[in-house]
Amino acid sequence: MSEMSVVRKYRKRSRAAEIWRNFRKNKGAMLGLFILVVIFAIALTIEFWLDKDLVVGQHVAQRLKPPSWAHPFGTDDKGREMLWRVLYASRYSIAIGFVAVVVSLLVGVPLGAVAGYYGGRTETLIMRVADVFSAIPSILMAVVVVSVLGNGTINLMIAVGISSVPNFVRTTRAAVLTVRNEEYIEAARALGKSNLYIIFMHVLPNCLSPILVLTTLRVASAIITASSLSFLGLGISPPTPEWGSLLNAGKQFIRRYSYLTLFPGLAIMITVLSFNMVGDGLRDAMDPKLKR
Amino acid sequence: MTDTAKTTTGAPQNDLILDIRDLTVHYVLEDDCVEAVNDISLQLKKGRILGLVGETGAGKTSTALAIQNLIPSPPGVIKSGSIMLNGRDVLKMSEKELEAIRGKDVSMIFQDPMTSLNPVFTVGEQIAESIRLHENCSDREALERAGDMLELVRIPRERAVEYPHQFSGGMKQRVAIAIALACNPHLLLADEPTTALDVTIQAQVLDMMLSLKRQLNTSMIFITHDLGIVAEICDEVAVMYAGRIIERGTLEEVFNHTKHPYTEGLFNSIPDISNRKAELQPIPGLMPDPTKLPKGCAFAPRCPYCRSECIDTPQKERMFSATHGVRCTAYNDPAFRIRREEIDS
Repeated sequence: MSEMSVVRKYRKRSRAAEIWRNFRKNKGAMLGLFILVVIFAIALTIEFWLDKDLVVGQHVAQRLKPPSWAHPFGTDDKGREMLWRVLYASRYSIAIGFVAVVVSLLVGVPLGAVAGYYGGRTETLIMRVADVFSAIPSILMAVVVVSVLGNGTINLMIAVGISSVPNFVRTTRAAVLTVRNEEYIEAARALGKSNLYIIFMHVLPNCLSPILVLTTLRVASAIITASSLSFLGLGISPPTPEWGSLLNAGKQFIRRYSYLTLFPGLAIMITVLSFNMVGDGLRDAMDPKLKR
Repeated sequence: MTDTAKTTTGAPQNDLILDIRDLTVHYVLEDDCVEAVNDISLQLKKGRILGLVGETGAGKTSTALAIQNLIPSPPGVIKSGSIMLNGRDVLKMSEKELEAIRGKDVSMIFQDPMTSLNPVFTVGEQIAESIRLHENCSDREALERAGDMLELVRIPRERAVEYPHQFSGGMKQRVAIAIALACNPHLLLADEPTTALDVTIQAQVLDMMLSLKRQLNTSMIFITHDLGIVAEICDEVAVMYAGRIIERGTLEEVFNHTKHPYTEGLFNSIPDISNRKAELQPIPGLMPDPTKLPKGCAFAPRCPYCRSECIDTPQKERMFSATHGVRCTAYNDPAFRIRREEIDS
């Protein structure tokens, strides 16, 4: 019997295929995924097809033109095309938001799971450290990390990531606490599975939904934190655009030229919304009980 | 029951699958100490079923967990004793060795099938997982064998792709049994496996467990408070009360030659189908607080035969035959008899 036919026999389809099938039924999530794919595609390829001069070159004669067919998003105070600036900025904003959250996910979730599962002294130690970290305002935290590691995109990502680690630790621990006393965890121990195996194969899959929701929310706040850092001069330095710094630059013109803040703001909003919709859809698709 | 009568006395040691000696398990809390299991000894031979009977809180589940060295610690502490499983002491094993025997040599069925299966995996994957964990085989082989196990518990193998919530309670319990039996364990601990099921399903599950036992020659410890089930499937019986085994023996000895007043009380609390007008005679009172067990017999305050020496003399086990042991101080008086009549088979 071939490998495929056996797999087909015991699992109608692989787990990934099954999640995808359920995910596809969710129209909002599919829309979000589509938008994210477009944004990611732009962010990943833009440096190959867009002349950077269009983004940073100044054309004072064209300054502060409102949106029109010639200038779809208008131009800024230095005569730069906002369309290109917003698109180019996605490169940094998406990378920072995404990588920062992956960093905090990779650090926070295992720590929270271990704290929740083992309890006792391990838990006290991890949670108190997390408390200390969350007592420091995230901007301040990021400032410290950037000044220790030095300026740069990668360091910015790490800095933003570290500041949301305590959130992930706390959420994961809370979810693990509700699952760890379930009888199937005890049953897993009675079957001779090791603690680490149980944490990752039995406990965490049952804790996914709060973690996924938090992840999508943190992508948004990571983008915002990164932009605040840029504003303080610790992140991406001008004239390279980034959504947060675009917002900040447009702030002084908000009364007469509000489109300068509108478009970067919309870009952040649409990205965050798409992340949230995809996260929601994923959570539903991964929960076998919600299947029809 | 004819089978039980043939019990050979003085069987060779290597015939024993499980030999518990003087096991004591306490749960040490902040202010006091719950004496859950006190100084129990139990032996079980290959291919036999032992019924462990007793009220809620008598220490049955703690005993079963101790056999796998799974007592949650803290607060649980195994104070003393040895548990020889296949000739090796479970209490002296390292965590690695324990992981290797759990599920392979000894496995457990839990009380509530609704919560003992992981909701996010298909039942096929869950059975295959325990096979893959203990036996060197490919994913494909494990899944194939998971299908065989499902058929063994009379669930069509096509249903391996379904999730636990798509099964009924009785089917879930059968899946749990399939998981427990997947690696052909020598010893199966069934912790009230039918309590959460209704009577017809109960009968099906029991039936199936019996025929599986015959097929695979597994020894079993069957924890229950239903004496009817014990009479139906067990070869041997141990009655627990307040963490002690107060009477043990073959099914025949305990049921037909009952010696302990508590066991008598249990039988009196079963409705009699031939005399429907008879009132039940429950045992008066409650089990003593396990944090404050009396020095003498724990059953004395509820015992209709209680004598003054029962209250302060620690109980000793008295053997009435090679297999029939009773802990009751009143038998120090050779004339002492309980009211329940002996039945000769």
